[in-house]
Order: sequence, then structure tokens, then C-alpha cells
Amino acid sequence: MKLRERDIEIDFTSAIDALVFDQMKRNQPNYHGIGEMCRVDFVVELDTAIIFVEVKDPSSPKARTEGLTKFQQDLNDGTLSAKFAAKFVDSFFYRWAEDKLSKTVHYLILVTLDSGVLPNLSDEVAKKISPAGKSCTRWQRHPVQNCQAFNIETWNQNFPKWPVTRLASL
Amino acid sequence: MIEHLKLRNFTAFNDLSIDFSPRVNVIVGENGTGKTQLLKAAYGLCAGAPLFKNKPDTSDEELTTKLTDKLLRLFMPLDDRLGRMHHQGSSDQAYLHARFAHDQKIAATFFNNSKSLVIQDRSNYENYQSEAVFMPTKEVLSFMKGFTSLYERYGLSFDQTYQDICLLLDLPEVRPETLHERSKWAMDEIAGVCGGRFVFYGGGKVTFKTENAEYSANAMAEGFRKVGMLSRLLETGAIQPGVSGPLFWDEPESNLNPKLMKLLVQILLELSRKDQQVILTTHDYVLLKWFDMLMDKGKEHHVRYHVLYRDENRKIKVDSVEDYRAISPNAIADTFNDLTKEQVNKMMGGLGQ
Repeated sequence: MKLRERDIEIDFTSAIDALVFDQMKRNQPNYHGIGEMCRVDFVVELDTAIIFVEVKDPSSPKARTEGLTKFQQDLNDGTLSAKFAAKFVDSFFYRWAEDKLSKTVHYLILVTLDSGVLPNLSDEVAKKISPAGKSCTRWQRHPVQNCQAFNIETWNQNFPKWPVTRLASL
Repeated sequence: MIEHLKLRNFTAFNDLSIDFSPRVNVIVGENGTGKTQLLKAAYGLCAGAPLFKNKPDTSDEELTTKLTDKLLRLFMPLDDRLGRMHHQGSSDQAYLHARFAHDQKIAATFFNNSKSLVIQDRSNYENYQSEAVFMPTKEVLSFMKGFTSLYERYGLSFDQTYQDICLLLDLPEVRPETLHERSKWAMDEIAGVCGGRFVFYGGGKVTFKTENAEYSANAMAEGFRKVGMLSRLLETGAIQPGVSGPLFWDEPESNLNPKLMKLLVQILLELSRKDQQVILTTHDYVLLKWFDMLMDKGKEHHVRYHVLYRDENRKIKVDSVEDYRAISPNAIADTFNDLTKEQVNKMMGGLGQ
């Protein structure tokens, strides 16, 4: 199944299921319905794992100056990583309530930034999702196995089975 | 200002030509691709300038001796033999050539058994009088007291860039009216970030003075000592936009807190805009990225990135580009990609592959 967020399309054909998680149109399948909750863009179910996917495309040729300025500001002051973390936590909570969290969860953020920024951004988001790198002996499970940010190039290098395309460039 | 450098059969280089920007040049490349050697070769070929400044009728012989000695002291080859700097395996002679502004040139050759360089071309070289500055990797404020006299007397294991920089730091301050407006601005910015200024008493004695107290320079953070060197070179006029020769800086990022890098890049861009040529090497993504971010063509900034790499025959090549994104191969970005891959492999196994 191919999922699309604006100009970015990811092909999850090899997955068991892939849905647009943040669907807020009533007449569409998998209507989310709780506007107060933060939402990742896609949830993908594989044989052995579940993947939450968030897409952010500041390098889009259509990006507007005001939007980019806000994005840059959010990136610099940590708001962006906090938003990414909140989207994961709320989406996790929602999927728990749906009773659809029986497998290991990975959180993959596709954000069209330089590859040099990505490892640090990945760590920043992971630090904002409990248990924030701390060990908690009472916990039997970890909410997120891998929390990591990619750009289109590094995504395609690492996940050739789920190719990403920028539709506008086709 | 150095415009062009050609190195053939010299140290690591088989045949390399590089055209420098009159403003900022950033040399990147993996370890072992000759970044520092390139910097030292260019700096060495600038060494005739002070000679002609002090003695306009310098003879060819004196120039040859000076340049030979300079290269030996900069590169410190095994057994102090010039021939050791000949590119291993080459049968042709080593050839170094630099072209400066106003068509001033210097070209020299040597063989692997030569004791001295042979000057092949020195067109207008006597007119090249702008003294270059070389900032080595390590800061020197913590050990410059007595360093110069020790260096002269004993065979210390420091190359001559350390002695040169200590001598420049120990020069007296230029008159305030001579100080370039951008130099003054840069010194104030550095003092603002460090919370005070380094004070030079001569003979290598350096302290750090805040509004209320004075400390040993050694008590200060290494990064502060490093930018303190830049500030002092501006104060002495060793770096004077529009007047001084190129500023060569080997890995400015070493010992520097990443937070100081933005300021450093701002300063270098501003000085270069006022005709101070800057040629630096780096391994650091943050420094590289700040140049990309802060470069403003509207402000007449210009940055040229020179990528050193080894081709399929292990020969060192250079690719010069104007846009950070065009750097290829980019060892720094590749490292980040490797980190990304490693995390995916460790945390997700073969998922999606």
C-alpha cells in the first residue's frame, strides 16, 4: 500500500497493513476523530513489528517562507523534537486503546533535512519519550524500540523495501 | 593573496592543482589525504615575503636557502632531508608552484637526493610582501612563555608553524587608528563571549583579564585560548584585512566548543569580505555547516570548498565546489550516514531491507 503525505509517498506494499493514522475526514476509512490528540501520519503493521511514521518536508519546493521560518525556529528551540515526541506518545496511547499494540513499535521520522542533523534530532526526540533513556526496573516492555529520523536519501538507503518518492519531482 | 597552487611529486601529492577563492577556502577530506600538507606547502611558498620586505635586494641564493629551510622546518622530514619530501615512487623531480595576486609567482623543484630547492620561476615574487599567518591545530597560549627561545636552541618536536605563531602573537599591538574596523569588531565579539581579554606582556607571558580580576591564561578553557589567539593576531595587525597575506588555519575546530564555532565562522566571513583571504582545513560538520548557513552572497561572502580524496589508483585528487551540497565525496556527511545505518541495524535488524 502506498501512503502519501503531501508530495511525499512511501510504498509499504510489503506490509500487512498500512493506514493514514491522522485521518480527520469523517467519510474516510480509519477516521481518527480526536482533534485534541497529537497524531503521527502513518501506522504500518509488519509481521514482527509496528511502525509509526511521521513526515515533515521543509525541503519541499512548495514550502513557504513563513512556514520554513517557524520550522527553523522549532528545530532550534527544541519545539520540533517535543512535537515529534508528543505525536508518538498520543498515537501510542490511541493504538493501545484500540488494542492494536501487540508487537514491537518503531518510530521513524522522515524529515527532509541534512543528514548531519539527523542523529542529533533522533536522540532529542528519543529523550523526550519516556523513559527518556533512564532504566526503570518495573517496566517489562519498551514503548519504542527504535526512534530515528531520516531524510529521503538515508531512508531509501536503509529501507529499500519501503521506497520513498517525492511526487512533485516525477 | 594566493590564487593558485600546484604540487607535483611532492610529499603525498602526485599531481595536484588548486585554485583558491580570494575569500574563504574550506579544505575537507579524510585523514591521509594531505590537507595539512597542502596548507603547509602553500604557507611555505609565501615565506619569501618577509625576506623581501626586510631586504629588497635578496639574492636567489638567499631566497633558495630561506625557502628550503622553511619547508624543512614546516614538514620536518626524516633526517631533516629535503629529498624525503619527494613523492615516493616518482621518478620525476618534485615541483611546487604558487601564483599570487598581481601575477607574482614562485616555482621550485628538487630531486630525492637534493639538499636544496632550485628556483625555476620567481616572476614578480619580490613584490609579494604580504605576510601569511598559519594557525596550527593546537593553541599555544598555554605554553608560549619561553617557547621561542627554546625552539631556537633545541630540536623540539614542533614544526615551525608553532614558532611562527608565537612570534606573531608576541608582536606589539598596532596603533588604534591602524586597527581595521572589522578587526576591532571581531576582538570585541571574542571578548564578549570569553568574558574578558587575553593580555600579552611580551616574552610569551599571557594572562586573561576580566573586569575585576586577572588569571593565568592556563586557567582558561582551551577553546577561549584558541579564539584568543585570533583576537591577538588582529590586535597586532598580523591579520589585517586588505593588508596581510592569507590566513591558513589547520582544523580551527579542535578544542573549540561547538557554540564558539558560529562566532568564529561569522568573524572569518566578515574578515574575508574585507579582503582577508582565509584557507582552512576541517573535519567538523558543525563548522562546515555554519559556513553554509552564514554565507550570504548579498554580503559579498564567497566560500569555496576543496575536497581532497584518493581516486581508484590511490592518487590524491581535489574537487573544488562553490556549494556545500555539491561536496563529494563528503567524508563528514558519510559518517553521519554510517551512524544512521548502524542505529537501524542495531535496533531494527533487517526490517525494511
